[in-house]
Amino acid sequence: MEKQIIFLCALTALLDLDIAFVGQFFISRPTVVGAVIGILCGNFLAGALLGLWAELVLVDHIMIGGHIAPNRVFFASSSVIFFSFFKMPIPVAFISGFAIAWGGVYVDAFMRKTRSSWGRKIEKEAKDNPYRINSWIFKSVVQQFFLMLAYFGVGLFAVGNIAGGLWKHAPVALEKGLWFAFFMIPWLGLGTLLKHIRSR
Amino acid sequence: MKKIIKIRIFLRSFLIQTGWNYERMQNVGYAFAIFPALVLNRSKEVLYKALVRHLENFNTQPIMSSMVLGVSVKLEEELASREGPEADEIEKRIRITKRSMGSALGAIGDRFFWGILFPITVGIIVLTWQLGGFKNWILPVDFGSHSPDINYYVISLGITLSLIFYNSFAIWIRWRGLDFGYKCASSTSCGVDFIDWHKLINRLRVLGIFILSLITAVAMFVAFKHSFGSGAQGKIYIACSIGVFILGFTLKRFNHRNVFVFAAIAVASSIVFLFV
Repeated sequence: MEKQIIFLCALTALLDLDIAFVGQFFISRPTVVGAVIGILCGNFLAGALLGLWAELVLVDHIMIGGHIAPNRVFFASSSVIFFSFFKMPIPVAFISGFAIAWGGVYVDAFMRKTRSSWGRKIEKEAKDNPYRINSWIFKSVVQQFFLMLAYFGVGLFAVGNIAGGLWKHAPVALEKGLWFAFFMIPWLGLGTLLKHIRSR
Repeated sequence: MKKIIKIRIFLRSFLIQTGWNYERMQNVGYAFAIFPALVLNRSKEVLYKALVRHLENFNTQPIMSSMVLGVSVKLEEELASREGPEADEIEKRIRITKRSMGSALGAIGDRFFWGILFPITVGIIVLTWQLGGFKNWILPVDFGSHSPDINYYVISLGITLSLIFYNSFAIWIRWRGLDFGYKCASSTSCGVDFIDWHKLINRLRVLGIFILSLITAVAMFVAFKHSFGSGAQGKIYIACSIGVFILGFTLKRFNHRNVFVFAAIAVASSIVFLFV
């Protein structure tokens, strides 16, 4: 099981690069990530639906300029993994997934801050060898991949165990309330989307 | 622009956001993308100066950046063949053009890709599922089930169609934008008149509103049909669904976050369930 989860973490970190770093082909959208991770976990239906709902919850978070939205890839992927491997009920897996996505904002912000000095460093290096710019790009991609992989892996096990443990002591009313709120997401998302596209 | 240079810049433009930082934003990715054009016929010293020029602050919508890249390539070619005050003038123009085009295209691109294309792609997924007979996206479902009623091909088709729709625009604009920018380098409205953006955005908005309204209508019909005859519980479910839909629509105006609304619904309904 551990090997399988590590593979899924690596795949998640790889798909995460598509959000901004490499491509922006939209394969990082939660519905795609949820479906792919769902297939690999043997829960395609849960994966696709959790992905769609993650997308509808995050529909109002748009990555414009310096704004960093909760990590959509981590949200969808961890929700499916929590459901499939940690045997959490769907709404708990969903909320735990969101916690990891939220944490991803701080990791990404940290990385962006760290890279702020790169412009000056590249300028210095370019004096001797302008072709070094290629290796900076390579370094940036590799650094992002491994840091996100580390964060996601650690976050998955930490949140999975904490949320899984806490959930056992949760009152029944909370479980019912979460299920209810969970099934309201499509309606909430549809309302937001319709208003979003109507705005000029 | 030579074809091979164009292809190299096009491929490198997919990494324009790599190295995004708070100080100079897309500078590293931009310098990396334009590098193949800078290398041509330049001494190491001139190449260094050109690279530093493109390591300055720059930010725009990543897909729209190809137009700015096209203009920059053209101006860099002009710069390479000039000397003295003329060269200084072109250098200044490169800086000004990048800055002004970056802001204008950023605004158009964000509106187009995030404001219009993104909601449509969500609509395409859900509409395909709905047309394919998969209604569980709106109705309570057994998540662990592998029921033969669930058409997995329909689910995959919806996702695939949305990716094709989005990428056909994104890749086309990236590729054609390079050419367009290169050809219109001397125009002041370069990039903004690449397509009739206003017309395109308006047409796609109408399409999006149509798709999303259709989905909403069908979803409500399905939910009504499903709840019909299921007593008071079904009626409460329908009333809450419509209420939440209106809530989402109304609160968007005040820039609310869906996740907080979700949390509020969870807390409120938990309290209700505590007493019921």
